[in-house]
Amino acid sequence: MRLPKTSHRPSGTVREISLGKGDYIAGGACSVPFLDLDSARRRRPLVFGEVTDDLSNYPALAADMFSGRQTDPEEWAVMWKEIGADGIWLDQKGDDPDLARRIAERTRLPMAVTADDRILDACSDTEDTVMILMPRSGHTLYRRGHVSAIRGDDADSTSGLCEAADGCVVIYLGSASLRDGIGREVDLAEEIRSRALSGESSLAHPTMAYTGGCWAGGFSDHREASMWEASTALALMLAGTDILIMRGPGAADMARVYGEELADL
Amino acid sequence: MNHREASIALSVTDIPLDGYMEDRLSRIRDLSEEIGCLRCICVRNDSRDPFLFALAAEAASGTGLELILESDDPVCLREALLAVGRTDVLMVMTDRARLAESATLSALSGCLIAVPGSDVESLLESAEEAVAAGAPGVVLNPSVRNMKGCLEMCTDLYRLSTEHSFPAAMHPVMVRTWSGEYALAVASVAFMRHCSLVVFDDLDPEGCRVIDALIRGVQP
Repeated sequence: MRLPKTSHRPSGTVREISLGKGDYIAGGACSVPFLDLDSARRRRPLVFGEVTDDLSNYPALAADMFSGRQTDPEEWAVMWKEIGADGIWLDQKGDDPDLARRIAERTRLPMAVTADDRILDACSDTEDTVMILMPRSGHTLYRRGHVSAIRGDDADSTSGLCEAADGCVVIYLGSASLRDGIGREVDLAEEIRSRALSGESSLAHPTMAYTGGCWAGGFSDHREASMWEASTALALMLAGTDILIMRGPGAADMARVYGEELADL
Repeated sequence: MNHREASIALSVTDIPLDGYMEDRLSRIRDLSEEIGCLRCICVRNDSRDPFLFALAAEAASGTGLELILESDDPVCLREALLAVGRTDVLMVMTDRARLAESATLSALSGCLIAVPGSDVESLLESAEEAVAAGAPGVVLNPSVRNMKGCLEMCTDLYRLSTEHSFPAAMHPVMVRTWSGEYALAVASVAFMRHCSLVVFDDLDPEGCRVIDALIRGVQP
């Protein structure tokens, strides 16, 4: 049987960004995710572990998984490194201007930081590590030597924002949870990847999403919550998400293993 | 059998075990009332005995769910079809060497047939063979060993069907998977790549909820 060729050769590629000390790369895709048929690059999405300095809204079920180390953000980040995370997302509510820098020094992992502008300004003074800056207010903050997170409501508005970008950016898709319906984030990730591969330069940036929201909703045990979060992460990586910010260590491990298998690493 | 809506099936073995069949069927039926995508039940011909397969098929048919009969033996399939007396059954033939007999059975019974293939080419050859034998409808059942294989095969089939209108690929695709979290991951890949049906050996209720949410989220 003679079969037609089904491989695609896109005209565009997603830009690469160097994170941390330059030893972690996100983006760079030249095909739809993971597809050998299209000569996909053998690179899996980066998995960042969530750390916060304010546990008041953090679910006890997830906190239990960190053996008490979640009460100290630095120790918590070190634990994420021990269990194989590629990076740390620090959700900082307090006013310690040095917290992100100390975590970066102790873990030597890439960091994404959500905080007020004043804290992010302090972070951006750190010169020996590249961080992703995510202002709590949702606007875009550009600081030389770091990566800015851009968030649009849809691919068109994101494209407009990226076109006006003043520096290296990552597109933040938002918080995704299968339990709440994941269609928007998956569609957005797929559309951004597709348009980037079609040569739309303004969308040719790595994408990032948060999956920790899966833990909201009264699970009876870790396993169930981890299953929802890992499945959410898998759907997002299949849609082309380059960086996953995750809450549960078991789910993060599953996502890493899934990514390695799909990328044939 | 309705292939327009993405569905999952849980399976039952035809090996008689004390109280197994009643409990298992009741559990699947109850679960199907909660899980929208759980529309089918699959009877596995583990015993390789036509009589036991027919008994199990008859019992599963009583659940009211769409029925899938899986065997590598056309004789067992024929006995089970006679026992259930339905024409809306999907026969899953797992032995390519005996496809011709099963395709004839499909043509005579009016039941759809899922054809096997270890790669895209052999799968599509199976489909052509079944169509030529007069099967009223064909489902493509690629042999999927892992997530990666599932991604590659399902994408290739989808492109052959949508971008090339390749006749042998213009059929719904099913994926046969196992139990537990890895099976759930394979099913997620399958549904994200336009598969219509995934048959699990087993999946716990939470896993069924996850895959149901995924289908609702990503399939049109």
